[in-house]
Amino acid sequence: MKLKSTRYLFLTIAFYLFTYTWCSYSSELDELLDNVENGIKTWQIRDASESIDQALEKADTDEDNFRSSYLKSLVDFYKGNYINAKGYAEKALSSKELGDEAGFLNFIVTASDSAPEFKEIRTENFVIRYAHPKDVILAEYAKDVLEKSRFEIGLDLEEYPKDPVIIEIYPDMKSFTLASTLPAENVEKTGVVGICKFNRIMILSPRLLPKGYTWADTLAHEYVHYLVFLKSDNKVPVWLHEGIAKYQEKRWKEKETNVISPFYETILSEALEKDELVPIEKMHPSLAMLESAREAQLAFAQSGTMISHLVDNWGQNALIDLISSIKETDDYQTAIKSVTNLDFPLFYESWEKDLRSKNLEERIPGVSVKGVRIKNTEKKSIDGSEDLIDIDNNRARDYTRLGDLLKQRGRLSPASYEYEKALELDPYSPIISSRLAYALNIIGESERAREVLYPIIEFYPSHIDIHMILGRIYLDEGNLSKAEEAYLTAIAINPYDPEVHASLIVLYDKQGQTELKQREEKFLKLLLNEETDNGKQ
Amino acid sequence: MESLDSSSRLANIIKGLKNQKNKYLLLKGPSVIAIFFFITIGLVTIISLISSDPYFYAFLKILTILLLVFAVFKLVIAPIYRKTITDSLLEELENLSPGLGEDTVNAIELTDTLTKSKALGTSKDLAFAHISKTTHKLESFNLSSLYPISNLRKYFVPLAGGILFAALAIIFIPGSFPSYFFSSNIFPSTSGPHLKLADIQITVKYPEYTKREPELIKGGSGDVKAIKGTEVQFEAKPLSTFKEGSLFVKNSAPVPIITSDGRIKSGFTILNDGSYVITENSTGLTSESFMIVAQEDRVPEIQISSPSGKTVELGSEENIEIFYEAEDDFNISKLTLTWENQKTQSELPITIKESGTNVIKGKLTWGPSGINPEDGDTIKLRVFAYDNDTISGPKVGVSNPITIKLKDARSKHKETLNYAGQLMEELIDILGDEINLVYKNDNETTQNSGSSSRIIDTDEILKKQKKLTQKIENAVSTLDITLSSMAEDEYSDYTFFVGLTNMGIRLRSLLDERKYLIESFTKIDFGRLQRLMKREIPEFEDDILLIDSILKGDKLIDSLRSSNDLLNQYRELSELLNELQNGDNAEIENQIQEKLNQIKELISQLAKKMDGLSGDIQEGFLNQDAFEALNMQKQLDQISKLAQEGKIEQALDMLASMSQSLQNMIASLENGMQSFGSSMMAQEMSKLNELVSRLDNIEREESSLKDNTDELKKSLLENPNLQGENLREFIEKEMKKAERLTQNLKKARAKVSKKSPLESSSEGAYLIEKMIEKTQQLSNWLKAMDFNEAVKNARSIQESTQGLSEMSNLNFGNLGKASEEIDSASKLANEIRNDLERFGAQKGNQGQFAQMAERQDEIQGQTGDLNEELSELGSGFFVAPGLGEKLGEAENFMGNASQDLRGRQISKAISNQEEALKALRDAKQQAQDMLQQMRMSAKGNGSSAPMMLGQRQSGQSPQGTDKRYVEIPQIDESQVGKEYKQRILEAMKGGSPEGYIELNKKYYDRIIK
Repeated sequence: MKLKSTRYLFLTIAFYLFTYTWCSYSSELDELLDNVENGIKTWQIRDASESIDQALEKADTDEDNFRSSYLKSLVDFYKGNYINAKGYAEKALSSKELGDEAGFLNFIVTASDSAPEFKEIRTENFVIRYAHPKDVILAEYAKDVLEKSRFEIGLDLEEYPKDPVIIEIYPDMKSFTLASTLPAENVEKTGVVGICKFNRIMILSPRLLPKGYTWADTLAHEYVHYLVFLKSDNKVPVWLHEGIAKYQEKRWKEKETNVISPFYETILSEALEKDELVPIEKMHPSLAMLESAREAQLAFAQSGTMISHLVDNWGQNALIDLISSIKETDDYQTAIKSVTNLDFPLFYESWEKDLRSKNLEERIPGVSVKGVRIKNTEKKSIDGSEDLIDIDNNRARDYTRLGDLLKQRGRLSPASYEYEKALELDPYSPIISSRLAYALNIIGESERAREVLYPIIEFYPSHIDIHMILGRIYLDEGNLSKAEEAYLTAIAINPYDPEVHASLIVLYDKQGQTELKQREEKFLKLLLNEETDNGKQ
Repeated sequence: MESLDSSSRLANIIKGLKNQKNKYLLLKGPSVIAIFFFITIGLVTIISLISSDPYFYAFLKILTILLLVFAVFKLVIAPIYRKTITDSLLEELENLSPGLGEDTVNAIELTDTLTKSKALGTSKDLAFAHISKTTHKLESFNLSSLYPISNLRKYFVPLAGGILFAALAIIFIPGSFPSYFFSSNIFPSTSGPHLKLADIQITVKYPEYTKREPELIKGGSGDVKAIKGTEVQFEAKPLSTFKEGSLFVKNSAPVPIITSDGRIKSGFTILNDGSYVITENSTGLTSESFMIVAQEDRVPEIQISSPSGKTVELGSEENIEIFYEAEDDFNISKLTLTWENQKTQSELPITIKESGTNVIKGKLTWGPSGINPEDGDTIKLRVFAYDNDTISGPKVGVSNPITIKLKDARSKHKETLNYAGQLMEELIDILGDEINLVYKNDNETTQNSGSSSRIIDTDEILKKQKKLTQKIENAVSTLDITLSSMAEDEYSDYTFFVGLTNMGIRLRSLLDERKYLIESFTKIDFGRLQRLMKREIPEFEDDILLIDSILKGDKLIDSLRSSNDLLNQYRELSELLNELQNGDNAEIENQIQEKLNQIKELISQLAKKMDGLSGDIQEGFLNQDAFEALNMQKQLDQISKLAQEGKIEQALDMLASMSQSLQNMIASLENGMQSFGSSMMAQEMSKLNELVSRLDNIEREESSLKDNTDELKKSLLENPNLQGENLREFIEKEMKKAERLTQNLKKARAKVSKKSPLESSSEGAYLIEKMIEKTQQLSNWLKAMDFNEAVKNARSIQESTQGLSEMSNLNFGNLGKASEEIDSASKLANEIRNDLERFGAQKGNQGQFAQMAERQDEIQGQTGDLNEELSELGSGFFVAPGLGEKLGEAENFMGNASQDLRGRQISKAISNQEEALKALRDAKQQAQDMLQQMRMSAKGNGSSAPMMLGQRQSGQSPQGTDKRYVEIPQIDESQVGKEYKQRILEAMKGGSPEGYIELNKKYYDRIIK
């Protein structure tokens, strides 16, 4: 009997111990997986990664294995480790427990399969990936832009990522749209060429646009998104996100921020006059999804000026407090109220009133806002006429074409005559102005060339030809610092034009900056297809 | 001497008598034999009834022949040779005169003794005397009566009787003996007892397709010869009892025989050569075998008579006329033209204008444009002729082949473009010079304007201007060369051709002005020169832009062509992969590899061409799809690998994807092309379409109105009015009255004209003459159913005749002489007037006329609106002024018709409506022609579209407004390419040199916009 009782006791203790151990083991796994999910959600990927590795070791049931594989796949995808992500995704997809997760898992497999073969350049805080050999030039220049952004914008927003931030430069439209999940038509319609998603910044190579785009500002813009995401645990609404990014995007190069450029002033004034501001609600889920490039730009201008209004009236800390408050409350209206003591409608009203008080004007008459025209070739047309389609006035386009034909044959003086005629018909065209200025500069009328360019540069600061010609004028004049500034601005738009690098070689040579000169020489050789970043082609 | 003479005469007499006797016997013998023969034939025919045994027949035949031979011997030969002539002769002489025979014998013997110097038993003299005496005696008799031919007449009757007997026996006695007897057969057929058939009739009914009437052959042997498929109806009278039987065609099933009225009937269809027999079942008798000869239907003969050469060189847009001649024994049901090149073969039906004929001569126009041939391609043409044989199937005749060698049009086109490129270079150089000169001079002018001593270096200016003039002259020469080359170039667009032709005219005009200025250059002319150059600069600018458009557009078309070529190659590769999938074949694998290499080469060429396209052609057409072509090389390698690994499905999927990508690119290019070259044209086409549609509506409405008017006329003519007579009857009645009126007046005139020397009748006769004329006019109005005019006329006549009547009472102008006729005429005129007024007063159709007139006004209004819109469109719309003129004409005719309807002049209204319709149809045709040309041009590839051809030229020229119209010939289907362009060239040269700026602006709008 005693023996029997002892046996029962022993069995009871054993059962208890087993149940306790199993339960504690199970709750630990759940906790780990919850951590992973939370980490992914808030882009605390380092923590998520550690947790998922532990979870993988502990998972032994089918359900646990599926969940662990699924989350491991996500973590690796967010870390940019596509091969691993694909492996775990496929493992999870083979599970019987497959549910709603299948969609994203399939996306990971497809995106990983289609991901370009990236190469990397690392800085202290960034991993810059590129696929096309020539994009190494962009990556090199991006290092400086990104580190400056980290410093300046980090200071403004009081946020510094712990881990290096992944930057991916996509070599073609197809891979970009696939990775970003943005439909191609949205990209082309609204002109969105960069995105901050999946714990990384993705941009389309400026090579794909005939005249490039302001990629440096775009990188900074997306970096702001990254910081806001981290700082708010992804709770800041899209329109505010864009506003903060727009407000901060030039901080990497400028101390003072002025959102209202002549272009924004023009479209804002028109919208205010016609009472056609984009409603806040319409800015969801993304500005890239708006109906037109013009509407998207108006939304940027609105949200950017709203942040500007906040900072101007309540100080820089108001912006930081706003983000923190949103993180806590998950309600931007409450956050606005807490920061400004104004209900959101009143805040909106005060912003609009402030905007109207600025007496905005149509600075650029007849300005047209176009989407992105993508090219899949880097070759310029033989006669350099690829941008003529952007001249809306037919007759002005004809005269420009005539000017081009004369210019190609070295008849620069007659060419300038034709460009002048074209400019009379379309006085704000950066295409015509830059052509005219080019011809005038060559025939020795640099003063007149500058007269043509100066009004335009304010209107079209991102038109590369203007900076190229100005750089040339300054270089010819011996104004090296101004020339360098113009050329570097040109590089921040399109670093693939060999002429910029050739000019910078001359410039740095004159300045005696050997290291910079050698860098430019390397890039020039690369662009002239003589050398890749990894050696001879 | 006399004795010798008597001997000689005696010998002659005896010889003559012998000849006479022989002649007589030779006539007598055959007569008797003939009698014997016919009687024998008759008799053996009767005897042959005893038995139809062939041996019996043979016996009878032999017996008859023997009897005949015997008779000949007995009756002809024996009488001549058995008895000596002399004996017989002497007997006859003795019968003639007793003793004469003996005397003659003695005389003959004495003569013989004397001649042979034999011993004479008497004296010579006595002998001679006897001979002489006998001779005289014989000469004194009429010896011709000894053998009288007339005696033979006695045989005529027996002979006729014999013939009749034999004939009756042969005809009426059934049996085949006579035919056997007269045959060359010794024995009749031994194949068995024969069914005897008489009175054989054969009806042949030829096959339907021959369209030949059936034929009845009577009295034939029973043998048949006809074309296969002919139905034969056999009919005969059996000579023995025929109860039932069959007709047997060799190697066919028996056909039952129908007996009716003692005749047998059956039939069969000729399908092959052979024979047939008739068999009587109860007796087992079978007729002799009848032959069947089946004739074959002939294969049609077809020949291409022109072009006569074996090989013809042709441009891909040109046509040739093919003359052919086809002949068949019956009918040609179908003609086709086949063509084949190395890749494919196809067939086109040829319309046969005259059906049901066996000889066709015709021509057709053929061109390779519809078959997408390649330059340098060789095409073989043949005409096939099919007959209508439904029995053994249509026979096909094949003509001699004509080989078409296509000209290498692309290289010609390239040459044209090179000239155009050179021209552009020259014009750019000139433009550069002009701008430099103008602005340099302007600057100088500006700089020197403040100077009191303004110096112009005339020599320097002249030198530069002469150089510039030379350059312009060179450019004009290059333009001429370009145009000449374009005229030969199938790929060049007519629109550009016309544009460049216009450019040439303008440049020449400016050049002439320039030359004149330079030749008479003075300092004072400096301003004029500047002004000229300021006019020249926009001219050269426009010219350069036009040529630039031509060159760019051509690159686009070239890329499009290459893309289509590539797409075809994809299709061929896909077919090869499918073949490979169906079976492993090393040969196919090689072909696939070869095809892949060809595709790679094409892709490479296409990529180069795409690179050459400029971005300012048209926004949106150079999208990313267009450049997917650049990635195709890798995909092709992958396809090659998959094919080698046997993964055909995957390779096909990949190819399909590439093909889709390429199609997208082509669509994209086509869009670009359309926007680039045809956006304006599309608008024009849309307008023209609308115009044609509206014209169509107007025409339909007018046509309907005319039909209604016709109906009304018919109704008026046919339907009775209130008096129970219809219009036709009414008109006829009134015309008769008018005729009577005329007759009365003529009588009156005749009487009035008979004047005495004292009378003056000229006025009266003149007045009556006028009345006669009016009455004849009245008849005409009635005939034309123009009642308005008829009533007016009738009133006038009535009033005039009334006047005449009054004047006749006064005997004015000798009218009193014809007062009776005039009174009668007056009454008739009054009657006619009343009738017509009463008719006019009938309101039955009045409303209808008014309604129709209103409808006519509406249609006229629509036409007027359309014409007005057209004139407002003016020079901006590419239609010939003829169209506007035609619409104007139609409008006028409609107006007239409306008035006619209101005036109830129905025939006149119909006539005007017909004219209006004709004008409308002409206008519509012009618009449709233009539309067709635009459609052709919109297809690109140099199709003809003289868009401004026929356009009103109203551009403001530098010298003023030129409104003249340059008549450009419309495209005639038979005229293509060079010839057409040449016509344009000539027309342009003969036309206006001014007022063309607007014309070219249209080009630019259309091409560059």
